[in-house]
Amino acid sequence: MNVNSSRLRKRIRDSILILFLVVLVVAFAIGSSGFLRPSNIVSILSNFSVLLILSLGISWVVMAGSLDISQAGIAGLVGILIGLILPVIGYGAIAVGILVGAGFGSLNGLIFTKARIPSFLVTLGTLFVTTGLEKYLAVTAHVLTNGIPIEGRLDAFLPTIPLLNVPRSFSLFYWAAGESILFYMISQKTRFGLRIYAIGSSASSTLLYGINVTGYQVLVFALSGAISAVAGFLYLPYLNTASPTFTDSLTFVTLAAVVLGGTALAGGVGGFHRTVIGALILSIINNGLTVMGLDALALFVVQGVIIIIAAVAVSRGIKTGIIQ
Amino acid sequence: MIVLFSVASPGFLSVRGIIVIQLTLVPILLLAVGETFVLMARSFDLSIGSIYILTSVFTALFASQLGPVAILVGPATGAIFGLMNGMVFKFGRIPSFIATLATMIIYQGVAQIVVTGQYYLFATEESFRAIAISFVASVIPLMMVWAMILTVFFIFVALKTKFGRVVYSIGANYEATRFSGINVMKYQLAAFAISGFLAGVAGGLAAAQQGGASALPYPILLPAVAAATIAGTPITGGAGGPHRALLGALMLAVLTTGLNVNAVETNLKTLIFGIVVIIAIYLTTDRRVVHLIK
Repeated sequence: MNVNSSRLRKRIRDSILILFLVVLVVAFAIGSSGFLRPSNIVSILSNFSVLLILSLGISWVVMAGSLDISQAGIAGLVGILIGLILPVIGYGAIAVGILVGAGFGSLNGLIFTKARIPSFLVTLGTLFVTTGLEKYLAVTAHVLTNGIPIEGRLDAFLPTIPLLNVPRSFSLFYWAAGESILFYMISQKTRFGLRIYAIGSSASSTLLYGINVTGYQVLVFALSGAISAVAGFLYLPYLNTASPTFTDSLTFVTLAAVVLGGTALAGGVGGFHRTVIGALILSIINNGLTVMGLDALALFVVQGVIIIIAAVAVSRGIKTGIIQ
Repeated sequence: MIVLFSVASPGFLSVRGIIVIQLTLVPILLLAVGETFVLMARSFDLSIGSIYILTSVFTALFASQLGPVAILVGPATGAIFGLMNGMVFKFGRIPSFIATLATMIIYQGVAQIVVTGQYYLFATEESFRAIAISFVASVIPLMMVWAMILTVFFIFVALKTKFGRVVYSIGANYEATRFSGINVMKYQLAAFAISGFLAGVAGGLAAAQQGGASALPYPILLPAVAAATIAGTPITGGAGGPHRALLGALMLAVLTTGLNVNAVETNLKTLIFGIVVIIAIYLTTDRRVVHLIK
């Protein structure tokens, strides 16, 4: 296969994703007059950001050929932790939270590489541990049902821009956009990024080049843990509450965003631009169906069907190796 | 572990304790054995938790008209849902992870639509409930007997039949299996159907045991996946098997019951559960078989 045809294929593959997004937007715009209203677009982008900031960590891990399903647990635990100690130690709580996240991430990486257990299972264990700890803290502090009020103490991290008449929660979008661009640049333009892709394609060949594969793998899991912690922290000013249940439903949706964007679970393919598109598709499906006034019960069914259609459309143009 | 809990709490090895272990074991075991077939073929089934709920709802719905025969509704509908998973995965040519994530959402939604208006579907007929809760030798609930018969049958299928060998071989090397002239699709569809079938059996038995069903999401997916995998079935396929799932489910059921009997706080239980999962996987992962530690 010559270079031109593979480049062409890559272009077709990317345009199919965009095309599907456009079709989705047009369909919803026709289906409901409220869909393209500015306030609704703000709402889509806010929900999109909630999903995206939690999906970025797992993107690193999947690119490196492993799996991490502990994000939701880590984010939830860190959120409650920060909520509990914020009144006591102030902004230092944020540093503690992110360190805890990075710590659980490193632990994932270390157990995965040293004990040689499949990463899916290690992080499944970590998901149980962190979720259990999150709920335990919440029960002990008697905040399981109502959460911990943040009372605007972290608003500085989600600043509102005076000229734009949008709610504070929209500011999460700046973080999501900033993080995505940063990680995209790192993955595409730096040696670190290149090596992550290399490990994802073939860890054993990368090892033969004298690269410290284990080190990079631990680093990737630590990074994923830290990114999840940042997400858990940002949800606090977003909700203005430290909620012990908010992240529960996000466990598999984040992985869906990554895979739907076309990052193969086999590793070595894909990237952050794909995760962004995957998360956008999921958020638009969710919002569009709600805005169209679909019965809450039918919502689930239609949502599932559209995810299938999206996946079929998207995977047409993408070579994901063996479809597992 | 059993010794540990027995020492910690005298109630653990009582008749009641043994019955509770079995009741905890049955759904986890059935779901884990089904999931194992899908994992062996190197796919993933996220929808078994939803199938469990949906089939229990269907079973409860028919129990008043069909009586004890309604117990067959679970496995029948479950197998159909499983087959649908396989078809979405194969004909849609999308990763099974995404396919079953979508059907997981769909089945959960359908269950809620079916139950609309009532919060709980009662199915209290004695003859129907007896299928699950009458006792053999006064310590073994009948549902345990059904679960064990099916487990033994599927262990036999996996280890001793051509069908089982092909499913392993699909997981170990998909391309090679395909090129050796085997209709791979047929086997993959069957693996998903088995997974749905067993989730349906579990759903039907749950409706009988509890005397009804609700459409509320029930957190059984992750424990079932944990049970399927902690005793050595890798998610990269080609190894392990239902006999491992039996061991895994047994460990988790004993653990859960033991923690319950010792009145450990619910959420600390989840935490301990996680640690045990990691330790168990560490001990049981056969590194000669699992070539790809991903």
